[in-house]
Amino acid sequence: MSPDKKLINAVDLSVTFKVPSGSLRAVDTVSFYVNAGETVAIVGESGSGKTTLALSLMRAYAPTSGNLFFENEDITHLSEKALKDFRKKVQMVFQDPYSSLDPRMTVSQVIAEPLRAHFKLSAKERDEKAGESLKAVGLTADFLNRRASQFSGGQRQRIAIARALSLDPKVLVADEPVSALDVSTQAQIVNLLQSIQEERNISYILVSHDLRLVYHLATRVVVMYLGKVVEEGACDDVVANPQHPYTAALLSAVPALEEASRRDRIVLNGAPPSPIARPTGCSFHPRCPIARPECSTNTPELQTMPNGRKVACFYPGELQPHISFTSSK
Amino acid sequence: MINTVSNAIEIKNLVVSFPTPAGYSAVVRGINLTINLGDRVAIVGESGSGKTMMGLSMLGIQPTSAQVEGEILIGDVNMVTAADAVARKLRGNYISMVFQEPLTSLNPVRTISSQLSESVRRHNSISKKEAEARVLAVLTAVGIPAPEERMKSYPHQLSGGLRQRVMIALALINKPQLVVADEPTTALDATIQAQILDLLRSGMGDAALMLITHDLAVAADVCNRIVVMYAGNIVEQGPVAEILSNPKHPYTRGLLSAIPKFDQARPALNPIPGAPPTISEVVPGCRFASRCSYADAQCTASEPEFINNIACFHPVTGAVK
Repeated sequence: MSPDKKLINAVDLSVTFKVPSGSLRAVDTVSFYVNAGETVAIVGESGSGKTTLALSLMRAYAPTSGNLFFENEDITHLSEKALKDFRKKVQMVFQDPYSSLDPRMTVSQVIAEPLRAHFKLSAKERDEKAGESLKAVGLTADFLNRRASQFSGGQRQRIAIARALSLDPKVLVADEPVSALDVSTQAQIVNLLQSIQEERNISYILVSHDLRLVYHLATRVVVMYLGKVVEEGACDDVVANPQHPYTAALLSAVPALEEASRRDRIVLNGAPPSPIARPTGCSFHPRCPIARPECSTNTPELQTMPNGRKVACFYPGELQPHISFTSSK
Repeated sequence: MINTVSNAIEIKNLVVSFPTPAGYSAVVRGINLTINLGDRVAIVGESGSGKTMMGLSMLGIQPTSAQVEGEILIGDVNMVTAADAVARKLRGNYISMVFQEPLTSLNPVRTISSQLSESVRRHNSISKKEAEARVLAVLTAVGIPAPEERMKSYPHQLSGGLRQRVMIALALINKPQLVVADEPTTALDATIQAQILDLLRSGMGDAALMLITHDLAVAADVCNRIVVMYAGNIVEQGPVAEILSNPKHPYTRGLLSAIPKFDQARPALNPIPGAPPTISEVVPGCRFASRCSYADAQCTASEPEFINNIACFHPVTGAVK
């Protein structure tokens, strides 16, 4: 396999939900891909469509239009039965390990459940595999017969990761994987995710609102606003030199340990509008600090810049946040 | 009723315990803390550190199963022993609280105006019209756009950020000496969190603020003093700049180095190993010792006292990498 092969590739994907007042386009013509072994982060606020995009990349939602490919095979309209192989290769870790693990099941049952769904194994073989998965997340096999409810948040999230790894997936979708955990435990899970990726060359799709975490883990970042991608690029590049004013504002909103970042904060007015009553022109213009009259009438397309960056803004790069970079070198 | 004193609240040897099968276990283990008028103090700690129970006890609204000992002095009233009627006069008037989730803290079937007026009229004998004028003034002060219209709204008609502004307005409406805010931005989006942090930093009038948070960056953003709690004890406190540039307690240092930074080299994060002790766990010596890389025999033999703003036998110096 060539190293830059696209594992998951979505082309012009849209997901629309029916709501009483009409239809809600949660994901609007989004193209997205993830290569083997890389981490792509999807960032944005609630209602931006980041979780809906992540779930539709897993075919948890059927796309309304557009195409979804896995290893170059079009899986947009595959039946649930035909998707079985895809399901094995793409697994998920959820935000809250208190609700994602059944408190009545033993750890061994939790981890073996996906194995049971996909393989015909004896109980002994399943236990062995479950033990291996536990070891991979830094827990020991004597956890197997205890119940998930006996464990702390960090241990539970390890168990949830072990369950996802039990099928040896190629892609792991992690939706806010550490935001329900205490700070001291977050770092344990972040380091674990990194070492698993190094060992297995697994790809991560990381959904997060925490831009420090995104910067730490991701190779590429996709910024969404009201269901559309407004900026996309290499993580280093996007953070150091954001082109879209929304990206700049998100970076600026990160609670800062450094006083300078607080002083020059870009504070947006109001909240994101409802995706049902989308503003005319650029969806971001009512909150944008640099909006011009044309922004309320014309819609900026997502343009590719010479360095591969993509941005949907008439005035890219104009608004810059103050970010305090640290250097460990 | 309240004498004018320079501090908003003084807490002396506060112990909050809960019944367990093995008897009462303390989640707050002898806290001493004074918050001065106009201060902005952050209480930082992980879940289970006792920070929320301390906050609730300060208003006398802890769960009924909790046993509270010690003194919580607001002026000359001790909230621990005060009669219900006295405590009720102080709550919402001298001390008030902002909770994490505004949607569950506001009454869904009453308008914003009616909920805020109620609080004003409970503590002041003024007319409905005068109360409404106060409501309008405080909604304007906390930055709610079109306040005349919004005060007629019901909570569900407002966005999360506006609801939290309403909660802050409710806390401020009687010009209290102290507002306790428990994780007020955790349920909010990043850009909305930034708006509310700005409000907490500079829009609180004369009220002192006690901000309960697990996030050191949020604490640094809003407050001028940080108090670090671990497993029921204060382990370190100091001005924000000093805690950030020269933290002395290994736990504070651990919290700081566990946060990912904008560092291009992306060095591996330094997690604090293990987990805090559970409520009923008996820990000899320092309660952080089992997770601490500096711990020695002294640390497991006896518990360090809180002296000179730190409770540690082996304080560390220098900035955290």
